Formats: sequence, structure tokens, C-alpha cells
Amino acid sequence: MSSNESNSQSKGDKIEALIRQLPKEKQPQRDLFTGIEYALTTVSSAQALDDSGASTSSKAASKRPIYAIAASVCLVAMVGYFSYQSGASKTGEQLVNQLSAQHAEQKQLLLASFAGTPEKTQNWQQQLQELDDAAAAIKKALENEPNNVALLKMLKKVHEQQIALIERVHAPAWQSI
Amino acid sequence: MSSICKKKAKQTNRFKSTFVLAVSLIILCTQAFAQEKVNETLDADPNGFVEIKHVSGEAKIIGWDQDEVKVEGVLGERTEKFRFEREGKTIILEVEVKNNKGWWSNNSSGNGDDLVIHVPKGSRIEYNSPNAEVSVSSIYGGADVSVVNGQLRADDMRGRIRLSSVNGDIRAMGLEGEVVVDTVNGDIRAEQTEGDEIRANTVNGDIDAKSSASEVTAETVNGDIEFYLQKVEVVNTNTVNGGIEMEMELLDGANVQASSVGGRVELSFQEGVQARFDLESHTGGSIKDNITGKKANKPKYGPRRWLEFSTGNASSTVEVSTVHGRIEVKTK
Repeated sequence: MSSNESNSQSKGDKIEALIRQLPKEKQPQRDLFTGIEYALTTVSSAQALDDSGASTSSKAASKRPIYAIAASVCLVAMVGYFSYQSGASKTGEQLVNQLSAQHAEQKQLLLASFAGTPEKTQNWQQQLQELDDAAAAIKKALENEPNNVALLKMLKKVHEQQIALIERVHAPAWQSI
Repeated sequence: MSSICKKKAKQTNRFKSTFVLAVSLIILCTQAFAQEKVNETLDADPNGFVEIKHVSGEAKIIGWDQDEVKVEGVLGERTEKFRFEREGKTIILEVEVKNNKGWWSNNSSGNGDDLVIHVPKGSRIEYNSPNAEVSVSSIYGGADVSVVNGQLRADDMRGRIRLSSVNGDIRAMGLEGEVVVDTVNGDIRAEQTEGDEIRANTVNGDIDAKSSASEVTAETVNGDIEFYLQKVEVVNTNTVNGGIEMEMELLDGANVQASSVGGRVELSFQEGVQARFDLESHTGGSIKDNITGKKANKPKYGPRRWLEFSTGNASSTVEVSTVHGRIEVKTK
């Protein structure tokens, strides 16, 4: 048994000796650096890309206030513009309504003041109606162009013609003869 | 009692007879007065004011070289009072009629006045009558002549001239001065040979005028306007449904404004006119440019049409607007 023990000890020594003979660093069988370099390059590219993306977004982020201001200005301008437009159109409509209301009142007052006064033409009410129709046609056109000065002048003129017609066919000056 | 009754009956009969006699006398006197001829003269200022009012009939007012106002002719049947007097530099001639109330309708019955009135040429006159026909001539101090139903004729007039009628026509020739002519249903025919301004208005009547005025206003509702102008500076014209036809020569810096609701507007200018044109129709109608041949613009949707263009060294402006009428501009 002692010989067996001495054999296994010598085998153990041999193995130990062989292990000690082994190089402490295991060299790869092929050059791995290319792959490592590739990997490193890819990573750095990706990193670079990431970095550049980060810089763009940071630039964008840095520009965001400008865009925000521009957008705000645009928004304000648009709101202002549309408010102005609607305000202007409202003003035009209001002007037409105001002119019409004033004229209707003036006409009624005038007709009331001439109630019972002899009329000098038979067809004046028909003419009055024709002028009413003309005013209606102008107002219709003003619905599409509420601020058209020519149309507003035309409406005013038709109103004036109605008043002048009422006055002329009732002309109190004639009664004094 | 019976004698008292008889006495009362006698008194009543006497009263009745007196009353009938009085009434007969009044009627006879009135008729005698109504048929009265007049031939009266008053001294007058050569540049004074003559005011004439009467209701119906016919009147001829003639300017002459004498410093007198003379009226001759026959007064109408319904005459109640004839007034012919001087107040300072004013001569008043007035014929009043009975039952003046409602005389628009009932004064046409019976004969009206038939008067010839001579006034100094330099006089300014004012004439009013609802149912008379009047002619006025050779008045150089200005005139304001108004009728309702009669015809009005004026010749050889100077100064500020205003001629007005409701239903009658007006014919005025040889006008020199500032002229205003207007009617409701009557037609106007006028010729102004001198003067800066003319204004002509009608409702249903037509206007046919020649004028040398540089400032022109013409308006109508349903009537047609034909204006033959010379060198103009300011023209304003408008119609509702009637037509406007005008010929003119634009001075530098002139402004022409025309508008219609449904009527047509035709403006003709001198050859080589230099102006900026702004033509617009709003809810239909058409625009025809016979000066440059350009076509009107139109939006993708909607009936509006417009055309803007300039010719030459444009210093004048021509603005025409219609709701749904027709616009045409051209050169002679």
C-alpha cells in the first residue's frame, strides 16, 4: 500500500510541476483586437451619435424659448387679427344696423309729422317702397362686405333720397300760399 | 195777436229779401273782382328782390331794362285778394284764392290767373305756385322757381338758379351760374353754358343735360341720366334703378364717383384719358372696360367682380360701384 501512496504522490507532484510550467497568461489563439477595436469603434460611434443627438436636443431645448415666444407672438397676432376682423366686421354690421335704425326712426317721425297733409303725387309710396327694396339689396351686399365704403355710401344715399322724397311730396312750404 | 204775427211775418220776409239781395251783391262783386284785369306798375330797385306767389294759371316772368315791376293780365275766378306792393327793395306780388284749404285738388277747377310780369333784369326772383305753368326769362340776379304740377321753362338766366317741380317737366336753356334743378316725376332738360356747378335730381323723371360746369351732381331713383359735360373736376352721380350715361373730359386731379343699385353706368372720357379706375360690382352685374380691354377680376366663389387699372400718368380717379348693375367705361 505504501508503494501505491508514493505513486499517487509522485503523480500529484508531476501535475503540480506541469501546472507550474504552464504560462501564467493564456494567449488567445487568434487576434481578438480587431473585434475589440470594432466593438470599441461601434460603441464610440453610437456614443458619438448619442452625444450629437443629445447636443441637438439640447440646442433645440435651448431654442425652445424662442420658438415659444415666436409661437406666442403668432398666437397673439392671430388672436388679435381675428379679433380685429370680427370686431371690424361687427363694427360694419353695427354701423349698417345703426344707420337703418336711425333712418327708420327718422322716416316714421317724418311720416307722422306729415299725417293729414295733402300729398302732391299719387305714386310716392310706391317710390318709397322701391327705395326700401334698393336699401334691402344694398344691405344684402353689405352682409358679404360689411366695411365696403361705397356700399355704405350708397345705403346712406338711398336713405337720404327717401327722406327727401317724403319732404318734397308733402312740402309744407306750399301750404303758405 | 194776429196783427203781431203779421208784423213778424213781414219783418221775416223783409229780412229774407235783404239777405238774398246782399248775397247776390256779394256774388256779383266777387265775380266782378275774379274776372278783373290787372295792369299795375311799381318802381323797383334794379337789383332788388321780387317775390311772386299764386295758385294756378299761367305766368310769364320777363326781365327788362326798366327799373319797374309791371304786372298785367287777368286774375283767376277764385281770386280773393290781389296784393302788389313794395317793401324796401322787395316787390311782393301775391294772389290769394278762396277756400285755400285743400286746393291741391279743387283749384284745378275754374280758370287760373294769366299774368305777364316784367321785372328789372338784375332782379332776384322767387316764384311759387302749385298748379301754374311758368316761364322765366332774362333774369340775371338769380332765381328760385318752384311749381308742383305745372311745367317750368327758363331761358337766359344768370346767378344762382334753382328750378324745382314735383310732377311737371323742367326745360331750362341758356343758364349761366350755379344751377340746381330737381323734380320728382317730371323730366329735366337743361343747358348750362357757363358756371361752376350744376346739380340735377329726379325720382322718376329723366335728366338730359349739357353743361360746362366743372362740378356736377346728378341723382335719380328710376329715371335715366344723360349728361354731356365738358372739362370736369368733381362729378358725383348715382341711381337706384335708372341708367347713367355721361360724357366728360377729366381735368388733372379730377374725381368721378358713380354708383347704382341695379341701374347701368356708362362713362365716356376724352381720348388718352389719364386716370386710375376702380370699378366694382357686388352681387352680380358686369364690368366692361373699353379703354384698355381688361377683364374684371372675380373670386373663386361669389358674385363679386372688380377691376382696377390706370392709364397714362394717372392723376385723376374714377370710382364706380354697383350692387348688381352694369358698368362700362370708354373713350370718345
